[in-house]
Amino acid sequence: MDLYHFPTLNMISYRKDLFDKAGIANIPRTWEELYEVMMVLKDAYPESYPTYFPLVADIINTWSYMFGTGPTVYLNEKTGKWTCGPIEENSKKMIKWLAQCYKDKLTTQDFIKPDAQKQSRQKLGVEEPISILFENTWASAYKTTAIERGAPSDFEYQYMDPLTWENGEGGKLTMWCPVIGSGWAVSLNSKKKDAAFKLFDFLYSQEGTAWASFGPADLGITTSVKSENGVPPKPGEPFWLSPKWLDPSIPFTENVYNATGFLQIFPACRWQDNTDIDAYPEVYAITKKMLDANKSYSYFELPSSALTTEQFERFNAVFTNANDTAMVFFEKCIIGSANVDEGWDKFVSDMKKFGIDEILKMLDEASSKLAK
Amino acid sequence: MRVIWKLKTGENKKQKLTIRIYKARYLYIMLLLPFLYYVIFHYIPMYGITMAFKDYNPVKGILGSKWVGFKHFIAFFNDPRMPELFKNTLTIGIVSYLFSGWPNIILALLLNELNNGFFRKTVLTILNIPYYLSLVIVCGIAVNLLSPDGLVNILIERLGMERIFFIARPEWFIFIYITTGLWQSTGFGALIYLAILSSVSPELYDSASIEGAGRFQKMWYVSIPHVIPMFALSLILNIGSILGPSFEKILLLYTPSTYEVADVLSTYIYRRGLNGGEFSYGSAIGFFNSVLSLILILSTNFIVKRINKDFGI
Repeated sequence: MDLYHFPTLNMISYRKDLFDKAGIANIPRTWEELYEVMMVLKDAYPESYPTYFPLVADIINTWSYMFGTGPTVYLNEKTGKWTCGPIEENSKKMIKWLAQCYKDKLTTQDFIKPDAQKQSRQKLGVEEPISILFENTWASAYKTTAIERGAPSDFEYQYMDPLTWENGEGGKLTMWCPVIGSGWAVSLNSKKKDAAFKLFDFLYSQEGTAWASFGPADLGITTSVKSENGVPPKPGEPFWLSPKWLDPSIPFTENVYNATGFLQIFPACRWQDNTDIDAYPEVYAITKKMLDANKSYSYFELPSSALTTEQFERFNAVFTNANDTAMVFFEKCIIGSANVDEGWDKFVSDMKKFGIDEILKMLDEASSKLAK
Repeated sequence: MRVIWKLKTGENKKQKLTIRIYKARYLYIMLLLPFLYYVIFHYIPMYGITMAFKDYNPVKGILGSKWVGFKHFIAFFNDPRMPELFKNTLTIGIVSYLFSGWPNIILALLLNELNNGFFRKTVLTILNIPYYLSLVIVCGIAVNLLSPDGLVNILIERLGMERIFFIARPEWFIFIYITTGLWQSTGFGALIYLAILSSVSPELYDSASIEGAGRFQKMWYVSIPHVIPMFALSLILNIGSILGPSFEKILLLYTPSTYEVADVLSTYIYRRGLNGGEFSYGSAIGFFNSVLSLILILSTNFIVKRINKDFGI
């Protein structure tokens, strides 16, 4: 199947207007600083939550990179070996940080509900002063529509530089950004491919960039569908870009998927190349810098083609059980129904009991086979 | 009616089949749609069961995939999660089963005792509304009401107690599962029993009154015996659900924190079979589950028939 791809990014952003009001001059650079800033925001707005966490599955799969570790199985680029992220020390630190935030009510208390993120997005800028966002760049659609939904006129989101964490075991620079986290693709055989191309062309254009509110110069989310910078599309032209058409409660990519039936790709880094970056200069300037600094921000790819059917089945069985075990333990620790230190040894031993070492060895062998 | 009677009497058995079909043509036409429905949506897809005995490869298709016999069944029995999954499936199934049927009867009996027709209809209508709500909405309401910032926890806090994260606590899962089910379906379930009770001859109640029976005795000796056959039938039909608790509902209500009590065979099939792409493995667990359910239904029917031959199917 031939696919045409359009990428998206994961970023941390913060509400500049609320930071200014709370007198926060220094933008956090580390997780400790972020925690302190969130405490200041909590004091300023005691009835609200400064941020919202995603589901635990997303914490394991994507947040783990920010804390210098990785998902249930990932390729450690320092050692070149396959590794199990949740049993690494940095995962323990990550859970402690998240649990502390939960305990201090710095995040929504019901984040484990399937629709919790959606509900938080609906409140963005309107009902609650949510200050820190861990979302992909298309979440700007929520930000722009927030003004329409009644956000204050000085409502303003800015992107934050990636946070650092001491000694990332995962071998990546510790940052919220495996560069291109996901994207859309359309089959060249699709009946809707013309509509897809039209949309992609628009989004790659200067006007499209501005409309999507990445901000023309400083990558700040200062534009909206009503502002001068963000040139809104004329009503009904093209129809799928009408702001009225957008459902602000779901990610922009889902909006596009619903309207056009595009295939959503995750992860999409196999289509990642510098052409993508160059075609979207304003948006990807920061990403390009990251890419130049370190080429290894992309997601790992399983060496599936070098595994036999039996090996793949074994991998899947162990992975499902180990991943479930990690989700259960992490979630319980974050919401406070289990203690990280007390339960850690048993958790690690449970993970190993399922055969995690066996599949890591299997993946290492498969990777070497592929390399040859 | 004449046609049905003739078919029953057997006097037409000597007639040719085609003539008999022609005479009952309207009945056969009526039968055609449900017949097609079952063939297309229930019988033809049964072919997919063969996936459980193959190493299914989407590129090769079901026919082209390699036959591996009981490999996936053996793998399932050796799965370390299997005892826990089976225990959870049975626990949720049995508790749901224990709460199926009799709450409907109690509600129907209570409503039947109401003399004020307007009040009875109003109550019945209100109790029926949740049945017409989608399961997603019912579970959404429950999860939001019970969330840490939900209405229930606000009330708990006002009463001076600690908030409880109900949906993340394993000990609360079955309670939430059962109560949402009762809230959604008891009103509708009572309708069937109310219909039966409304068909009971008033003379029976009058006779009981003459004999000196009070309200409770009339309920016990007249009303209940009339609803028992339907209750027995519902028990037989529901017995299969012991091994198949509502997949959708569990998926909507559970979180990783409650996996230890809420993760059942069907949700495991979903995560491993569909999300993990192990279609054959998922089919094998599903097939095994269905066979056990069938055995349960047949054995219950057998036992019920031994107790009273009019109650079975």
